[in-house]
Amino acid sequence: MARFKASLRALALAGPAFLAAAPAADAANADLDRLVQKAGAEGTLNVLWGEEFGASEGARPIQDAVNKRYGLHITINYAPGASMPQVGSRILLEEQAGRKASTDLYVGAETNLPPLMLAHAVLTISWSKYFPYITAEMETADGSAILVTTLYNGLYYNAQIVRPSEVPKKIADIFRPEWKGKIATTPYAVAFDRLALWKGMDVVRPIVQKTAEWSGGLLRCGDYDRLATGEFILLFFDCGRTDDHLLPIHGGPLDQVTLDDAAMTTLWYFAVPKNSEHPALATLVAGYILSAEGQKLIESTGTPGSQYVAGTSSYKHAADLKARGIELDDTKPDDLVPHQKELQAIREEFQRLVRK
Amino acid sequence: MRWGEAISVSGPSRLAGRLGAVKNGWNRRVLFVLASVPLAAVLVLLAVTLWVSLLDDPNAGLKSGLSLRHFVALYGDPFVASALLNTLGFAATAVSVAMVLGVAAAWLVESTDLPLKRLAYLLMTIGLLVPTFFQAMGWVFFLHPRIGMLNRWLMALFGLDSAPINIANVVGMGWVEGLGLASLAFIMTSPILRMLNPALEEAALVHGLGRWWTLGHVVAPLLQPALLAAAIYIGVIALATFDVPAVIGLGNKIFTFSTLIYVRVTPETGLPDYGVVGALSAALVVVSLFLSCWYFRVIRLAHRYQVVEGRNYRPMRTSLGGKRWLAWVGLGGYFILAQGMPLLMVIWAALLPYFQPLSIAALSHVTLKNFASVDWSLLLRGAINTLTLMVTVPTFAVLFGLAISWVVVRSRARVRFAFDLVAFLPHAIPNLVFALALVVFALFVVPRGVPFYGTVGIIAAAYVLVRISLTTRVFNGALLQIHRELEDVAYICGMRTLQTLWKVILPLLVPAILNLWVWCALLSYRELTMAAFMVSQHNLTVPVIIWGFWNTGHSGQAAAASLIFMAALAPFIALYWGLRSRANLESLDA
Repeated sequence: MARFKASLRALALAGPAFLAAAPAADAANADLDRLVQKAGAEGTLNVLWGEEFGASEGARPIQDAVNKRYGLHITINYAPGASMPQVGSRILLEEQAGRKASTDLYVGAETNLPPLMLAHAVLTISWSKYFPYITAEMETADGSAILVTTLYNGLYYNAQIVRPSEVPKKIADIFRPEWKGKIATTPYAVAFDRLALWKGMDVVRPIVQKTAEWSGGLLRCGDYDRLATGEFILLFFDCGRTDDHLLPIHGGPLDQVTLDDAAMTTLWYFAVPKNSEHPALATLVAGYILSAEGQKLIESTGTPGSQYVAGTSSYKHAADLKARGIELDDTKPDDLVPHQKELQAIREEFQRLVRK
Repeated sequence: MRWGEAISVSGPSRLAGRLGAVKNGWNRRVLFVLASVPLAAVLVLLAVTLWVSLLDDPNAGLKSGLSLRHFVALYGDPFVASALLNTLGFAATAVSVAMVLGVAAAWLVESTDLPLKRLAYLLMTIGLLVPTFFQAMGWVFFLHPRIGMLNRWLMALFGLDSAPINIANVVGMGWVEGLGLASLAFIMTSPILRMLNPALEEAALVHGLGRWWTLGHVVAPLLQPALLAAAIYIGVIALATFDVPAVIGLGNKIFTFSTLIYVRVTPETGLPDYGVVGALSAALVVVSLFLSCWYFRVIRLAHRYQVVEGRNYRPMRTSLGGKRWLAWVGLGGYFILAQGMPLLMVIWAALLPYFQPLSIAALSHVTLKNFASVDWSLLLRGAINTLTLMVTVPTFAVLFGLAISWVVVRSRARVRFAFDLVAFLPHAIPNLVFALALVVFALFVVPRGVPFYGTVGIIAAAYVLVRISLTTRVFNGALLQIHRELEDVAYICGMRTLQTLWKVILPLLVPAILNLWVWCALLSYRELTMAAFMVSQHNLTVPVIIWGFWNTGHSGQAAAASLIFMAALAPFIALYWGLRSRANLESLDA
């Protein structure tokens, strides 16, 4: 947490200056020039993502923006892929088989990355050499991944059913007698594992048990239509807000809240597979998306930006939580690498509990 | 004494017979090779599946050690037993509903003088184009205890405190699944009913036995292999089906094997646990072996079911008389529940910014925005690959299926039952595991220079191998009903095996082949699990695009994309059924 606070403080002081200086720094960066040349020669970036960054609708603006910024004529080929864990698994297998990766640029959450890092299946890159605005807290210690999106785990609720005064602020507020059987949780018990690492099993196990008792069903991440229809009134924990088309700003019925006593992040990272067919272009596009301009672009597609880039919705939310004195857990892949087996055991226990 | 036996004793004929045997030997070898190639691939993939289940960390691939931990974890978990019970209850209900409705519809269409048959064919198959998650959502809207429209009306009408009907249980899920699978029962049994010779039925009726007694004691036993094959096939589909258990089951904490697998292979955290899924496949292989053995016991007495003979084969129609329109009421009711409602849900979802129950208030949100936001270039890429699969997969699946069924039913090779056993196995393995095995095979075995991994070819291969179970079930049933005397006559006339197959057997199998071809094409259009797992830039399919929308809460865009593709395909399906019906009617008239 101290690291997080220090990071925020450093960013608050130095971030804007960095960002303001970024274009100038780019211009004078010989390493970046070489990267741009290589990227231009590679020409095409093949990406296999879910609906991240606006899917196919979002790929075109990113392509145009990169071309404009670096004077290139690259193309981004988008294909809707399997889930982040499945694509991660494929990258591992492809790397072992010595084949080209299915995606030139991998997007994965902090829990998906450790197996790839441990297997050295992704390239380690000196990101700040090319992009000075990429600071230490935005990348993993070995440079194998950079943070592109910060999601806040909390709960999604149907704002047409849950009155403003009833919106839970803490975990205990969820367990209202009249909501018993009407709430949902995920079959994977998402986020509870990290909460257990943060608060301890003794604290979190009873919460999971009570959530199981109160929940009438299990919803997959992305199954938010089931909240919109009123089948369930809220989802706890949710998987983080990845899209805003169901939010009130777009006329939708759903809203999301971060809980004061369980404020946690889900962090999406970019990583370039070791056997990426177009590694330079992948590096360039990833680096660009982390710029203030790139972050603004992905936010326009409905995907939140990084908590470390000033001006993004995630940055503002982190600042808001900080101003309210709420402690935020933003566990990084490096923090999870030593705990892989422990996490797996916790997940399996919690998944058994939520099924009841 | 049979004709063949009489000829075999004459001198010159014996020489001709030997020469014929040499030529026939070559012909039969062609069929054996055609049958063996896909089955060898199935065995290799099964071996890969077993190997994956024994890997300590399947994601580590070749670097992983071997372990039984996945089997211990799976079969040591008492929750798996409850999921197994749910799965069996769900599958039994689904099979019962599908067989009753599907066979009844097939009988009405094929064996009676029901009017507007072309329309019936069309209605029974057009619903296959609707993604099944919309069907499940439709039933949630209709009968959910909290938001179900019917329950709300009933509660308001009778002043009830709680919902009188709940779809959210094992039987409810089975009912919904069975309604969808009735189309498959229809497709699998209608060719058999079409070929059924009514001579025995007429004989029973002439002797004063009642229509129901005749149906139960004469017609049903004749159809037993075909019905059993269809029931087993549908049962295994129900065991592995995901959509309905995911929408209705998970939403009410009712787990089946498929949802248990889903949670393991699509976790939000960590990486997929393929080892456990491989271990689960082992159990499903055992179940399928058991079902196959049961099936073999029935077809062991194959000659009992041969009713299409050379002499007095003249299919006839039962007259429904004044009840013809009553039959249409039943068919119409089925269509509204099983096909119409999901179609309505798709249209409704496509017109809304987010999914919501049917209501007057929701009408104010109706918009065409979902259609406007469709990425046409992406959809076109998917459509080209999907259409490629819809043409190639049925063609190869039918070709291989026919060769295998010929070996199983017509040859006297000792290994014929092994052929059938292996042909059924792909159906028992969860599609995702099959796809994983094929990916591992393509990555580590297929030479790098061969363009297979990441192409449409790998998806086509997976689909063909999986569909062989279906094509062999149908061809086995159809071949069993064609008496050997037709082939005997052809051989006596000097025809070789391939010629006989082409000129004698195939014309009789045309209805089955056409049905299978269309069904395999539709399944290729619908198949999602394997395509999503193997997706790359070069083999993107329409279902993967639609699932991408649905899976991220964009049900409106998913529905819009579905409707666009359905609208593009519907005229071709209507045209097909129109031509097919005309051809069949003309052939019958002749």
